[in-house]
Amino acid sequence: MELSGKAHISAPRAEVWSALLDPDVLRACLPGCEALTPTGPDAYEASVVLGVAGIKGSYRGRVRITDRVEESRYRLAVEGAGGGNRIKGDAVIELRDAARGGTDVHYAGEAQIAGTLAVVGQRLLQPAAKSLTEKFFASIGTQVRKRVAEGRRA
Amino acid sequence: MAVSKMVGARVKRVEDPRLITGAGTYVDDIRMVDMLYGAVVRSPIAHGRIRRIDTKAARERPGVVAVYTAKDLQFAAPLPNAWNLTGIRVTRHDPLATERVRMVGDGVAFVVAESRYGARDAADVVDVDYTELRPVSDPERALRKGAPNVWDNAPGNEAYRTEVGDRAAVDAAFASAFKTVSLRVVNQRLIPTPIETRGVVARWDRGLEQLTVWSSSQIPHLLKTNIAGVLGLPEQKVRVIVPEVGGGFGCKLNIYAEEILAARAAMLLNRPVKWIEERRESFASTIHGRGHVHYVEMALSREGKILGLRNRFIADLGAYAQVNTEAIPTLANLVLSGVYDMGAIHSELIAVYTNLPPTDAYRGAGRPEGVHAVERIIHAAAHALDMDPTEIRRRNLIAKDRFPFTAKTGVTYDSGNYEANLDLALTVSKYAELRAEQARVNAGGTHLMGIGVAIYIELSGFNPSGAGGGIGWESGTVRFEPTGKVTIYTGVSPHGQGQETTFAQIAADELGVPFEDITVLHGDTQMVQYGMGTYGSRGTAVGGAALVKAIDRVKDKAKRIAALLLEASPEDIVYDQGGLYVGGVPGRAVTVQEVAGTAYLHVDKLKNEIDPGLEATATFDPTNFTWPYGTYIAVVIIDRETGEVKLRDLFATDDVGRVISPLLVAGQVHGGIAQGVGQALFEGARFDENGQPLTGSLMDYAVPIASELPAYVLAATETPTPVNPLGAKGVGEAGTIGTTPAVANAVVDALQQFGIDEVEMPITSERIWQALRNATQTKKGGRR
Repeated sequence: MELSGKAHISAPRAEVWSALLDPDVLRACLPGCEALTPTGPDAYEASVVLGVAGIKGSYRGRVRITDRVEESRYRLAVEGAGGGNRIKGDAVIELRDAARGGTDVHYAGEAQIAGTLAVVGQRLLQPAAKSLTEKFFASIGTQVRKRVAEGRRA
Repeated sequence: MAVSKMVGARVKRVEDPRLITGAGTYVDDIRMVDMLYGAVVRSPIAHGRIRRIDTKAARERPGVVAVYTAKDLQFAAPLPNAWNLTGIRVTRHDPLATERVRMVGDGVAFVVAESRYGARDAADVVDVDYTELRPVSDPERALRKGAPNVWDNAPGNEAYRTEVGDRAAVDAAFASAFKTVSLRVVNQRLIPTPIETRGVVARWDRGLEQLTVWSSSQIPHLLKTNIAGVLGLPEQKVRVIVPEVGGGFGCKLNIYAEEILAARAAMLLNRPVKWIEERRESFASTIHGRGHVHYVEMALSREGKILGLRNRFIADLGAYAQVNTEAIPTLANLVLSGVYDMGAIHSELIAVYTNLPPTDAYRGAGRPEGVHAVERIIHAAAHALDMDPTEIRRRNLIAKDRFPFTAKTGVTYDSGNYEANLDLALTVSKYAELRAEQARVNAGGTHLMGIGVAIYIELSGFNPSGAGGGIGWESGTVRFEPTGKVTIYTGVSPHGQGQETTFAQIAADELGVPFEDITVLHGDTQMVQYGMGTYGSRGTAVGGAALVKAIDRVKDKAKRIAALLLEASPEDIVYDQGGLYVGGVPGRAVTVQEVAGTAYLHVDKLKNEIDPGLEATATFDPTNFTWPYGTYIAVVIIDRETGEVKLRDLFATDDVGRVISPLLVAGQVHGGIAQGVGQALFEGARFDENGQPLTGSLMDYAVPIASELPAYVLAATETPTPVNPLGAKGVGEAGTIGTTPAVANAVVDALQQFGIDEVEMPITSERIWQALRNATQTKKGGRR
């Protein structure tokens, strides 16, 4: 399954960058995220509860960040399993200054799904993944704006 | 011979009242005190090594009694592959994967709990760590260089290669042909989808050291023998009971891991264990059918005579050789002459392993694939020669005076009058009028009309034991009870075929006993003598023949007893409609009921000359297959804009030999047609390149429903077979085999004016739309 798109966040690139790599922000923004624990530099262990295509399950997995170019781009590798399902994904996240101000986050990735999710949910996975991604970036936007506002107050 | 009253009459199935009022007992209806429930942990990936299995979380869940992995369970043998006909590179199939998984759905652990849902929930938390390996999910790609190997002992994924016919003769025919045609015909993977999925209950009697297994199976005795073999139990301590079965279609003609796992768990835990397959599980862990790619060519004379048929096909075996996986594709080779006298035939079969569920017997089993290739290519030949598809067939039909006919494939057809069958089909369908209507419809307007013809042949009545495998015979026992009632024990295992009805019809006529006085029993190995079960349209053709032989024997004994009672010689006794009298002296008579009473309860009258009791057992092993055939004509209407295809008419003219029960034959044909249409227009098991199922549930796998099917028009010719005493050929698979090519030919018939010569099945509106679009675009480009 391919997943690519663009999200606009009305905050400067540096703010968005640091939010995207901040475990606390990610924990708050990742849909269904119950825990996100750093296990090393740019490596995390995550646990997520999600219902996709009528299949609810809890997933545990590893997240790794590589190919990091400060404030510009990184590669995100995710591997998770739970309830007989397996998810493996790989995406490149790229940050660019948006013409109208703020930051455009471009993402392009591919995910492989196996298990009940794949068997039953194939048709619904793509739209579900898209909606989850949109939700994620929307709440990143909220978090970043909150941080920027808090920063100004401080 | 008695006057025929029941045979040939429209008798309603005696099975139906209990089944349609919910009074039948299926495996899942069996409940026992102390019963446990099993669930299988299955691989979510198509190919990988098992690094580690952590069962701790599952074991700690409430109500979980045990969690077994391969290393916890000992077996005397792996699961069987029955045939070894082809020099196949045999693969080891363990009840649970040991170190490698080879398909999505491969079992890696078995959870046993106090409740079904408890077992299922615990299965979800068994943590299996895999090292993923590259899978291959397409049979043609599996043969390419660099494809991942499913089995280390089958490099290049080739399981076996076999051929029939004469390659040189075919080459010569093609060299001298007036015209040749060729097609690539995909016979897609199908999922059998019985309404009742598989299910097992196993109980270990610790005191008797006896194992009883209830299973939704087509082969109780073979299952018993194999359970004993895999578990290492003495066979006399294993009993298999097959209760009602809600459809099999070949997919329950097997020995499955879960039958073994439930049994072993019941033995280890000393409690009954039930396992019921979920629908989604069934899509992945029960065998699939078909899965062929045929490259078929035909060489023709100017007059449309078939000079040669050349075929090369790849059969997708899937990841394991189940019981018949290997044998099924070879059957396609045996029907490639169709109903035609062909100049030469050569066909090569390459069977390959893939990381997909195993293929095995599914309604027709090899014969639909072969017949489809022949009937598609002969349609293409008719088009190339600008002949009517019925005319080219007629010119090549084997004449009725040439039977037994040995085809270029090496097999011998028993009997047939193909031209009479074709003529009847043309009359019944008003074929000429259909063609006239087609010309009007296709002259312009919004829709296209197509008429498809197919004449199928199948080999049925499985099977002469000498033809391979050595297990084609069948058994029957007829027992008069002391009150003159009759119990029949048959070694076949009907699960919808209705032999409780047809065998009672046969016995009623032959014994002269009221139909209601006869009960047919089957499916319990401790009650019924050994037999082979139900598959390959064999129930009546082989099991019925064994019954007839047993009836003859029991009548002989009745005559001997009557002779004693009537003080005559046995040769002078006439058995007529349930009465036995001295020839020429009808007044000196006894009824068979009186004979039965004497045989058990007044044996003093037997004067020690005849053993007590009135029953007989017989077996029948056919000398040849039977060869039913029939002409199928389909009419489709296609929306030019959307590609939507509607099957408007289906005319089925079958010749299944002597018909015992016209209602049941019609029922078999109806069901067969639905599955044949399913393959042509709706069904197809699809997988992505990672071996993940894309049609993993009934939301995505389209089984036809009643509103999508027309009212069929059935007709019949009746050409008895000399192979068995009943003259019956078998009808279980006929409808499926004839329908698919008829419908596919109808679609092509509608589209060939645009240069379209094949549309891959299932022929969906999307595929037709795409074909039409490609065709019109090529046309606009000016060149094909």
